[in-house]
Amino acid sequence: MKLYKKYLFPILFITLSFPYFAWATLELELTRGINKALAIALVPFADPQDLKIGAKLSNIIKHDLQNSGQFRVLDASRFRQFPHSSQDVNYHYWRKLGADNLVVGQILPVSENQYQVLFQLLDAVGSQRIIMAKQFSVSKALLRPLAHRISDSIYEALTGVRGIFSTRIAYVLVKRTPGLATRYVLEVADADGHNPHTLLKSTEPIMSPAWSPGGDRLAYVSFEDKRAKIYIVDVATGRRQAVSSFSGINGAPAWSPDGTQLAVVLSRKSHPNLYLLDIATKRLKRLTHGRSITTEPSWAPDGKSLIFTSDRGGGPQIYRLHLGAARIERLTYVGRYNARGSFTSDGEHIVFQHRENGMFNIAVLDLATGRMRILTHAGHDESPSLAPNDRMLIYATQYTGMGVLSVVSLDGKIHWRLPSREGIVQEPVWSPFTV
Amino acid sequence: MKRKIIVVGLGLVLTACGYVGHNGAVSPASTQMAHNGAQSQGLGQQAKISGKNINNEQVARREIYHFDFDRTVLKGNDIAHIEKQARYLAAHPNARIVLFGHTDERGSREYNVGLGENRAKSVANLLRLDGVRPLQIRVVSFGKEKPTAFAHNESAYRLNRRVELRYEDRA
Repeated sequence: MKLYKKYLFPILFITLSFPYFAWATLELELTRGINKALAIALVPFADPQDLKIGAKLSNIIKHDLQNSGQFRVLDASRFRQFPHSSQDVNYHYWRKLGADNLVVGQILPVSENQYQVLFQLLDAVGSQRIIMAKQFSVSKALLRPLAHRISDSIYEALTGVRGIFSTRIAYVLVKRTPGLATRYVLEVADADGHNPHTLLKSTEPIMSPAWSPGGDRLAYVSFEDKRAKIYIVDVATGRRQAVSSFSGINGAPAWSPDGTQLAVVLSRKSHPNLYLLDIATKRLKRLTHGRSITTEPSWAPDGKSLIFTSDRGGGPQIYRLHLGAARIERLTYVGRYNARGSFTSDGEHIVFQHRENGMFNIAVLDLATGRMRILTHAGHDESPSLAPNDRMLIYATQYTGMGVLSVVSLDGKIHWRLPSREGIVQEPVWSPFTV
Repeated sequence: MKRKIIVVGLGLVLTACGYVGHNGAVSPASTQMAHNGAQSQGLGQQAKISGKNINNEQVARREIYHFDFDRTVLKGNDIAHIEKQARYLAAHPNARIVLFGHTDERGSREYNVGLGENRAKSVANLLRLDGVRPLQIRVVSFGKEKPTAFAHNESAYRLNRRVELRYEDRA
């Protein structure tokens, strides 16, 4: 299989081109699970040379599948058989253990820094057939991305939905030390929080990171000159350019689905309003007018409309601007504070921040029926960002007084929190699918 | 009462003229002299804590004004301080200030940037009513990004809802 080759170069380039910081990586705590899940037995990959790599790979796959909420990974300490290929599998044994599916594999060193990894996904219950068999050849540095790639394959084969285990998140980390200037850091990490890399360090705030549709660039707001400016940074190279530095607010950049424009918020002409900025030509087109606060634009997947937050009706609510007709309609009617909305990729739902009885939570609205569901309940929840498969979202919340990130599934059934770091973590954004 | 009417009247006139936004960059030194012919010094040479005497009035080089939740209304005590700043600034056209707007931690970040700007602009409007030139004022909103109090309670929220006035040192 040549799938790994597509991202071999970019990943290698990214891994080598960033300085590596020795901060504690984010770990995952499962806070709530679900009962009905596919039971899957992950047999530790056979590691004939005892490189410990087999166990490491299996462990990453286990965490990926468990955290999706759709799998119950059987406890490997109960296993008494360790097949590494389908011909060695005693299906009766695995059915008795309760497995619906079985993953077996092995890892073999090819040369000094090169490994061959083979795995098979088996159906333990029904036809007892091989659902999937794949083979990879990777360097040591690419073992972790490979494990995620295997998780994606297993997840997609068994659920029919594309996996998000090879995607990334960006977020802002705020470190306050008494007596020292506060430090703001823009970081990119794997979706499970590993491998954080710094894109920007500043003693002034960083806000509103936004992934380009191709997942190769981030737009963000930086106050590094004690004024707001919008920058675009190339994630792989770190090269950046300022694209919006007008007087007043330069905020809330949102990429058009074709990646050529940014919807931005400017107050240069008076009150904060929405503008379209052509990234190549820097030409500006004004979209909204009026004396309210109009902000937080977010594009519909077809690029024909934008939702945004505005207090034109009194308090912050979410509205939709249809670009062709220049028509604005209000979307949220429940509660007196609704903000920071974004679309699912089918354009049929929006997730947003919602306040009720003074508590801020994340909610999802079905645009066709108008039905709203509250997904979170901690009361300090904000900045929701959907995974590109629409199955879960990441958001910022507080835990024991510290700002942390949490993930919740859109059906509300699975919920997990990334533990506190050496600072406050805020404004998470989930990358699109890359590769 | 009469003073309030005059203030409101001026406010209406200025509003009708439209808010002239500062163009972002700090302008180079103006060639205008102070009205009474006295030389104005570059602010860089001033003492760190207190400002210079003008008509026996001292102005702070840094001042903070607070706001009630979800309001941009200035409190009486703060208004007196702002008017004092206005008199200094009107008398020293080369002096420049920045108004930093802030909010408490509740609500969405970018909406709070808008709220912080509204607060800073209400101070700017009052200064301009009292004769300060738009060029002398720069407005920046940090929204909820730079709190000074970190507890998650009303006392902290009250301290964070503020506008900071700061004099900019001339390059």
